[in-house]
Amino acid sequence: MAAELPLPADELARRLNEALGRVGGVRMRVVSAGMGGTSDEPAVRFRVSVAEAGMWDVAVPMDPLDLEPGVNTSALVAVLHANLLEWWDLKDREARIARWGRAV
Amino acid sequence: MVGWRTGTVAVVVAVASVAVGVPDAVARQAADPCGGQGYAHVVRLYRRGGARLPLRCGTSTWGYRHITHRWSADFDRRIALTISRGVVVQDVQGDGGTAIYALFDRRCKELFRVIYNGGAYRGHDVRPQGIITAYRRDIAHARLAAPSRRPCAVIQDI
Repeated sequence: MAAELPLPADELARRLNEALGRVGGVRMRVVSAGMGGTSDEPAVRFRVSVAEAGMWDVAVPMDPLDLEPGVNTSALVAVLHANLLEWWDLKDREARIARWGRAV
Repeated sequence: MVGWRTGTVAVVVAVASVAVGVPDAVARQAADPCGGQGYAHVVRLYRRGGARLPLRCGTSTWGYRHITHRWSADFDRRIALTISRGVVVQDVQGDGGTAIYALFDRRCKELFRVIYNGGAYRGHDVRPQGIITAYRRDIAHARLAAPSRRPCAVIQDI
């Protein structure tokens, strides 16, 4: 059974887009968010729009601990924001990161 | 006398065995500072002015356990230099907590990035959460050079 997002998907997308917009030049937008994977190996799935690079599906693998109700939603957003930036910067260099996403 | 010597040798061997074991344990601890530790355990404290910014063990998604495959003494030094001398973009989430530290060369080319959450991880506990991730943004630079003294803008070139 898949794990659940601790906050509504549209709220997560909105908060990520606010964070993405605060770093100069960012043109990645979260179009949608949801859960994937299993309860033991969950992943937060995104569809992101990247200016001049099109649409991408990204599944950020999560530790189940980070999805527990006691974790602050601000911390979860911070972690996912950081992982999305990391994925874009390293997808052409680190195989384990590259596996997270694919162009749609 | 022979028995005593045998006993002494046995003790010496036993002590030697223990002595051999201790360095192995120390080496293992040094190799994995998060072995047997919880996510809140602090691996390193990095300085920026009077502030101390922690790298915690974390999980596979943040902290030391997230970057362990990149870890080396050189990587550790890059984090330290980026935090102490890099450009910082504060309040990335608009909640006063998240920051990006970036190290640039003299031509404002970003070399290294550290993403940090100064807010709490759970409730009011584990505050600050600490370093979420760190990575090289430019692999062309084989060694650290003196960071830029010019103000360089942190840009996400997406």
